[in-house]
Amino acid sequence: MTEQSNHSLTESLSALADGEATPLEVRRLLKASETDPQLGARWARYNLAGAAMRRDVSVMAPEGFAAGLSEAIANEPSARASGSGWWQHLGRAAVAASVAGAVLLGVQQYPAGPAGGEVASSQGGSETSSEPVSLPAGHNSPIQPTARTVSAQSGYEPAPRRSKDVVFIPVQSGTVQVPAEEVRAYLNQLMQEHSDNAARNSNQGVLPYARVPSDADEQGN
Amino acid sequence: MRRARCLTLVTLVLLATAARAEDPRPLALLEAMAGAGQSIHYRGSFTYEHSNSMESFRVFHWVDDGRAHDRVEALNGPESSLQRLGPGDTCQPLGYRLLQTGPTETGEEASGDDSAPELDRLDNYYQLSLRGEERIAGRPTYTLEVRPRDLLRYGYILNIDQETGLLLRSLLIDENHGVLERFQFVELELEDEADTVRREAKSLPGETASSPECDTRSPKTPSDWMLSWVPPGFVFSGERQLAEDIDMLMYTDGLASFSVFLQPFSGQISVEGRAKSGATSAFMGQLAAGARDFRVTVVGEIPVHVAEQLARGISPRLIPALQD
Repeated sequence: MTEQSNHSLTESLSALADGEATPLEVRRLLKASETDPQLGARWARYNLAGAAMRRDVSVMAPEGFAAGLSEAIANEPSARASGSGWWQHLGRAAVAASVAGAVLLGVQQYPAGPAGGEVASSQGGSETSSEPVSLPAGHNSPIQPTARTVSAQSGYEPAPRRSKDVVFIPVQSGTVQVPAEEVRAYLNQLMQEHSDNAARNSNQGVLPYARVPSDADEQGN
Repeated sequence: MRRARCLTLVTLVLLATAARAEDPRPLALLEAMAGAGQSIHYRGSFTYEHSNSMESFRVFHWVDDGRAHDRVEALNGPESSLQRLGPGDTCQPLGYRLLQTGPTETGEEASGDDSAPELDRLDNYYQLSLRGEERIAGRPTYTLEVRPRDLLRYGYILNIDQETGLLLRSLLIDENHGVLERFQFVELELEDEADTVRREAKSLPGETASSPECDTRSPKTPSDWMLSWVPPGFVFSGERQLAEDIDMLMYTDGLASFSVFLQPFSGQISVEGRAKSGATSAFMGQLAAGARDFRVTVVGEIPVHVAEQLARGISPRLIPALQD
């Protein structure tokens, strides 16, 4: 991929994150995302940066979602009727944008752990057996004052103000999108309840209370 | 360390109670940390940093009639505060007991039931090492490195006050050795009298929310739900009923904890996804129990793939009656 087309893809991606991408741009992004893994990483960074600025909960699509989405699309009546590219029938950029976001996030965000109890034995085993211990970065003590938080390391892409960082999977109903705010509020409420559990059982004093998203604090008073 | 190995059990127990011992054992330090809040009164301020943001808080902590009170105020952003009343000192939450190195030597019988679950030692799941001393908030601390022995939990670097055992700084380290959050006291003033701190805190508005009642029954499993898989070292520490029919199940390994929430829902819209806010991960999914659908959400300071695996392994203990 040439540098120039990379640049325009980046611009399209930025527009998509702002919710301003045209259907054509969405189509190009979707196509490019099949071959260019960096695109997914960039998309994740855009959204993470935006979410971090708002101190939001960002909801990511789980693995396997892309496959589920393809299936849902295949079963979509209008898509079946047309036979050719389903995107031609998605008139509004908004719908396409949310679909694209889900696909890209599903590709990138978290390294998936292997299923079952193998997690500990396959990966963890190698860690525990490696004696003597060589300290990884971040485990050196005393701590260097330059230790960074994770997303600080992921570069400083300009954060879009209104990125779509929350994407949900309509498993049964096809294209219905659950309002992001609703789920975010629900999760914030649960996180607050969890902080009481953490405060009692994780022995770290008042630290768990600092983790509660600020808009959930107020309900707790 | 070699010296510690030679000590007799009696001395170990003594060491555990005296956080000021010269060469503290890591487990004894953790134990001191767990108990610190029950004995001291202080006011101070701390910062909490995660992702790209840093927030600052002011905290008042006092122990009144055996119960710890906390008041935490946000100093930046929208004005907010929370006030919590901890369980009494006769109540030892499971998470606290997980950090005990031996039988409770305080002589209290409150939780001395024989049915207490057999608790694994924390160092089966974490490698604990003392990494020297460091000054935090103007006070000497021990630096304790807590490395997970698997990928099912995070690591910590804890700085524990040498005098009181209070946690003065905590870094949470993920599997890629990135720092997920940093909690750090900026200043700390100890007070001899609870009243001094209480008066200051009470002069500020805000109601005290009591934490859940002390549950000494130590149930080993949730009453209505089964988890097919729980990361080794995590134990069930209790359950609660929340508003809107939400069941909450609590688990801890002594340092990390997660909560499972189950809520019946109706309607065609199902939500499934991962979420992350600072150090806290969540996975939201659903399950069917008989004729009812439940939304299942796992929230905790654990890697998100662990939360997902937990959520997918939950099933009802008994299929609810079909008429509902």
